[in-house]
Amino acid sequence: MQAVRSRAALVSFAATVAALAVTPQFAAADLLAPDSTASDGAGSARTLYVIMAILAALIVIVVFAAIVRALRTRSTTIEAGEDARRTRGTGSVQLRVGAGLGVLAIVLFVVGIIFTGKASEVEASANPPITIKADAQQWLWRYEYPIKEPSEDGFSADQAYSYQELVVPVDTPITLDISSTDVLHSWSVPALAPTAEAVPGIEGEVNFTATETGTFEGRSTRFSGPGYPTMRTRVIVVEPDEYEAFVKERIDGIKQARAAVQDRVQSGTAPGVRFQTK
Amino acid sequence: MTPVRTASHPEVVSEQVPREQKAWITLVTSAEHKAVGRMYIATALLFAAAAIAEFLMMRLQLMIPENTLIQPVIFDRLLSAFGVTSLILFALPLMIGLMSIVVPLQIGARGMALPRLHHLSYWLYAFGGTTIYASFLWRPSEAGILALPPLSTSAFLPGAAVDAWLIGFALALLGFVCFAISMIATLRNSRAPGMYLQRMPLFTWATSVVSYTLLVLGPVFLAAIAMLMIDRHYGGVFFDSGEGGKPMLYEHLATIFISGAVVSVLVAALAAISEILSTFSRQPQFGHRTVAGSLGALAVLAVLAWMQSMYSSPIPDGFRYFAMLMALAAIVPVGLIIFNWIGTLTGGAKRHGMPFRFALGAIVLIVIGLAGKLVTAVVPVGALLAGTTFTTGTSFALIAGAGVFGGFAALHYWFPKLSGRMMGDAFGITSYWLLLVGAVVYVLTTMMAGLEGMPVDVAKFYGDSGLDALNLIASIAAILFVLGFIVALLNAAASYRHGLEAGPDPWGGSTLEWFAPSPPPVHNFDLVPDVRSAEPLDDIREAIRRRATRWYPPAARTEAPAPEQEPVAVGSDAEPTSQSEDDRPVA
Repeated sequence: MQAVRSRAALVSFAATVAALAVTPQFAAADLLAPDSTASDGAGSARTLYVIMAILAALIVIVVFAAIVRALRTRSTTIEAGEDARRTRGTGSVQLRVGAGLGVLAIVLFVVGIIFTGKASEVEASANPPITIKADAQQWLWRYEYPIKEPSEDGFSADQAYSYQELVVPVDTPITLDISSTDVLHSWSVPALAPTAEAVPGIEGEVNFTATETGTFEGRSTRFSGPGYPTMRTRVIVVEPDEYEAFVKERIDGIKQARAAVQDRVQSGTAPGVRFQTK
Repeated sequence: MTPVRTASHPEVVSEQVPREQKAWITLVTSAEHKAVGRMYIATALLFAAAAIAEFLMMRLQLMIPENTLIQPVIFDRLLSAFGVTSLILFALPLMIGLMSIVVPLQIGARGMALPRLHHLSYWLYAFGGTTIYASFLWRPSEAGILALPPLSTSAFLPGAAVDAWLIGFALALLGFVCFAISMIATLRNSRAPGMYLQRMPLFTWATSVVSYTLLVLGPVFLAAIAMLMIDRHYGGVFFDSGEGGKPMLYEHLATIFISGAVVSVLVAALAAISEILSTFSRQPQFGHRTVAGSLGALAVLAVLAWMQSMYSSPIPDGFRYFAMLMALAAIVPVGLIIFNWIGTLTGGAKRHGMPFRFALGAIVLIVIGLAGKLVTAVVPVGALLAGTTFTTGTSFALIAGAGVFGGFAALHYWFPKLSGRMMGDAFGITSYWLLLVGAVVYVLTTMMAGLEGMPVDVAKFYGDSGLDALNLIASIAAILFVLGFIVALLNAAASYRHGLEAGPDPWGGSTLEWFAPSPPPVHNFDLVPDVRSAEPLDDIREAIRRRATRWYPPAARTEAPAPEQEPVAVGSDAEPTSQSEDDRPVA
């Protein structure tokens, strides 16, 4: 019994060492972990993922090793007699194993709560926070940026929006107000933030602070009809002054386009107007 | 039991001469539990063939990036049919069919307590599945795996397609509720004398857990379907957010039910695996009562943790923590079950056999799947990976492990009670390795693809996302899996009529179904056995042995040969008959 127990300990120890040696390297190579490195929140979620993945790999290895070991044991209980055979496993061992597993569950629960707080905390930043509206429809995303300086009467006809591509400044707390105009969608950019569902009638929210510039791919991960695979999005993280320039360019572009439409409406060359005048 | 109609038996005094009935008419119209169970299993395997055809087509489409083999609309139809077929029309009914045959035998009953209701449950399920597949004649549902509104409302998908899907689903569900009622009535009323609850075999215990789960959760999704039908046809606004409805309500109800359905299959498979491990290592179940309790606890916790697949939905944080707590608490029953399996195996006289192999394969997949679920059970990771194929990979591991491997393990194990024959070993081993390699590689590659950002349910993926290699490997693995499944289906079909004759007890089991002949007669047992322990057949063998052993005077007793080594003539019908090949212990 002693030999068996020490061999089991040896096997689980070797498995632990092997798993600890191998898993972080794969994780570092981004083969076995999501590439969530562009914001602190996503980074801590990724850290928790690596912890959980190592734990899960360990559990799988230990369970498989224990089953293989149990399969290789020779018959020892036949001689023990029928009564002894039938009462195996009825002692306090069940209670002890159950208690151990319960402690593991509670520890993981606490760790999960701590990391949930870490993943969603908004770190202090020199730049003021920005709230951007993200509206999903079949099968694209419409991002509407806040206008910084409304006109004197507090009302501005200016608008800045973009489709599919979201441009945000780096090191600035971003709040995305997620909504949907038709069916369920979801906004998933694992490099930056947790996935958020867009449900019609409910305002969802995603908070993140990008810590590096670059282009990050995202997609909708909720089935929404035949165009669903094409519903991709892209987040471009730029320096704050580039962001200001981008918003200004959008405002001007949209203003020009509106003016052009207005001209055509007044001159009667807009297609819709021609239809109405008939 | 056709009466003897020869001239030498003039005592047959029937007013009508009984007409010769075709065998299939007897099978289809009989409310006898074994006939209903056979039809459940045959229908489930038929729908399995449909499911693997759909799975194969979807994986062929996803083999290379931006493939144009299947149009997105056709892909969505395959997807919508595959979701309901794999779980509701195949995995769950296969387990229900096995329960229908095995459970009355295991508790020493002569039949189901409510046989007509049991019979009705089969026909509701069969008509439900037929309704869903009949819609392929005009236009099937394109609303996705769960038909979530608003996509499934009449504003987005008008016409009869989604209706056929919903009504077929509802009919099958009603069938399962009827099954649950008749099974609960049977388990409460028809147990043999002495078959106390704590002596019930684990598969019977799991049947009780599954029945209560279906009885409680079936109506939950029936309510959701009824509300959606009202929305679609009678101007209801249950899920219309513009009128104050809540689309999230349907998602909650559907997810609750799906959690219950998955855990039902899982609990049934875990119990079947426990019985197979115990029989094939020739040991009583280690910690019988702990495993029984764990099965019940697992079902309750898994259902209460339904929101752990909804971490990305707009729900309050408290809900997320609750789901996380329930999902993590499920570690305890799962861990205890695995611990007791190891206890059962340790020190036993192991031997090979197809049920044992399939049970080990099921353990491999279930452990991988549950470990994957453990990773996404914590809120930040679950939210990060929501909607990626990491989640569907783990779900596939669970459903393939419990439904396919657990189902085929149980089918191999109880096939003698189903047909009187054994399932073929040569086909069995081929299908086993194809299924196992295919499933494990498919699961691991889809999980890795999910980490790289592969979304679920997509009809195509793009070449610029770095997923080409993983999807190609997953598709090849899926083809292996499908081939293995086809071999397994052919094996079951061929063995039903042409397999080797099985005796009453080919595996040397210790539960009562092995006391009856294979296949059992209509009344199951000539003599209702008296149950004294959790291993009643061991007691019966022991009693026969004692009766057959010669009596020695007390002084000479010590020199007498041990009773076990003496060939027992009287007990031959209760003894294992075909052990010659399976007798070898595992090296």
